[in-house]
Amino acid sequence: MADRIVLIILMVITLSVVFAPLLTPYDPIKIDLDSIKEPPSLKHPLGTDNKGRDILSRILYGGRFSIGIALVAGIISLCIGLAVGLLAGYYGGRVDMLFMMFIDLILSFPSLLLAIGISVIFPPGIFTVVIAITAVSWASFARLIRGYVLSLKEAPYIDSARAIGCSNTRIILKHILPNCLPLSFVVFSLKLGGYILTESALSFLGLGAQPPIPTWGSMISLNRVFILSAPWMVVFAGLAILITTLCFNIFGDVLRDKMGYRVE
Amino acid sequence: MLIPILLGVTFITFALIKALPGDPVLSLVGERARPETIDSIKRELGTDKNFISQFIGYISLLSKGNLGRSYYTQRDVAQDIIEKFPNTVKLAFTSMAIAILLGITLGFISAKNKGRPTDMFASLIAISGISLPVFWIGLILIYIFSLHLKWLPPSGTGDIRFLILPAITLSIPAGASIARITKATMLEIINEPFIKTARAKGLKENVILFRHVLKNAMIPLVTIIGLDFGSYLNGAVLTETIFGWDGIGRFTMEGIIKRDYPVVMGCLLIGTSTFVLINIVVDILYHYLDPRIRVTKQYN
Repeated sequence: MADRIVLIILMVITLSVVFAPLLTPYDPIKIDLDSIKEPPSLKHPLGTDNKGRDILSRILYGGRFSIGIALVAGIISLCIGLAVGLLAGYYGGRVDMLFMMFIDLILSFPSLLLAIGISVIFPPGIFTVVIAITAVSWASFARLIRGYVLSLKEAPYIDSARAIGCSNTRIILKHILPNCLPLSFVVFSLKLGGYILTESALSFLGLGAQPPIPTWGSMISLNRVFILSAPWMVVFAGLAILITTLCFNIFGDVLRDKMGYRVE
Repeated sequence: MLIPILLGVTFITFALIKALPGDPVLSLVGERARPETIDSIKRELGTDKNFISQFIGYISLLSKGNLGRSYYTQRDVAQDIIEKFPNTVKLAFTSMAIAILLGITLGFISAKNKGRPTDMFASLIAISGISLPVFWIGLILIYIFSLHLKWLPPSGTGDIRFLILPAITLSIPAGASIARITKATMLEIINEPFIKTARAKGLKENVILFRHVLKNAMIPLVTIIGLDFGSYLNGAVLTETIFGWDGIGRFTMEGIIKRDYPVVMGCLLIGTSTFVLINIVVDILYHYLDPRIRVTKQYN
């Protein structure tokens, strides 16, 4: 029940973000000084900002960046995590020890601090945020998958595969990797909400996509001085983050329970 | 384990900071300074040497408890951190207390009413809590309680009135995750045989829930509460920045914006070492609380 509702909401969000131009006639970037700080009305359902831009359009177009960045960073982290986890878990020994040391090192940083540290090295922008999120999040994937591979590689079918002369590469790619995919997908969906939050936090701190590109975090950050005179400028962008993250988190929870994994 | 991790953390932080764009010497003296002035300042700050000798120099300073001086204020970074650290600790502990209280209550209510509307509502609150952008809820609280109702000051450091809003803001995500763990663990324990025994003895449901279920649920909870300390440090950067709370989080953020490397280094180092230390304490506590557990955790 809950999963269906959440799935429908997620689809509505995705579709409306992808087809933003069909849903709103306003340009999210063009300044319109004739309609500054208008409260929500029929013409502008969520009001306008201090430069006369329609908040709804900015949220819809901003969603492309906020969700897109989280998705891309998540997929890259997952790929790196899979590669490292498979190698470390399968081969064990010194490879494993080296990788695990590095993973533990990354995980011993408070993640947002490390992401902030990384995103100040490069010029602020979409690419930088993707790097920063990936750099802090691949490690938890790698650790989890490595642990899972450790238990998988003791299975009898791996022994049989080896007995009929499969190479290590073949065993990893054809036998272990496919078995890791369901777990990976569950973990991916559990983490996605967190990536949206990290992206919005970085944008909020001015380290994310730069103006005039709208993102949910930067909308809150740039508009927060107007919170008393025009609260809608801040409230709706935050609601967009909350609802999207909430849906991803519920979806991940339901998926995990259905598949019977015990991961946080 | 502690020393290599701290060394590794120092090295990564140091490498990160050296990779930062922008020359601190140039931003210190301005673009039009004479080359001799720039050279002499570089020599004074030691930024003319190569990477490895700078790192070794930094480590030897660290071992003497010296974190260097801020490029801007010329103040001793260690001194500044010592002054600001209690503020962050005060904030972290207050919000931890709120988080534990609210989280366990919410999780308890959820587990007690499993499957009923009450549980669904409580669970929805808990999962919303981990989906909220911390900085946004902070702004909304400022809007409601400071700007509208004028009950509490919007920003600053000081007595309890200044502490309430940032502490609540910081406690929301932590409280929500405590609630989720409380519920999950309690539900697991309820299915254990010793609970059946307790029921068979005719104990009252509340006695069972409090004395047998919740007490045993404390073991994983302590871990989560301890390990979640990292999220307080994360959240502190945002929360302290929004509420103008004079702690390590805001200090870090200012350091990053001004490219004040010694400040950033010092803060990251202190933050991470606290985090690592707490993890170790939690690990020891965990063993103490539950003798069944051995160190060999395959994966978490």
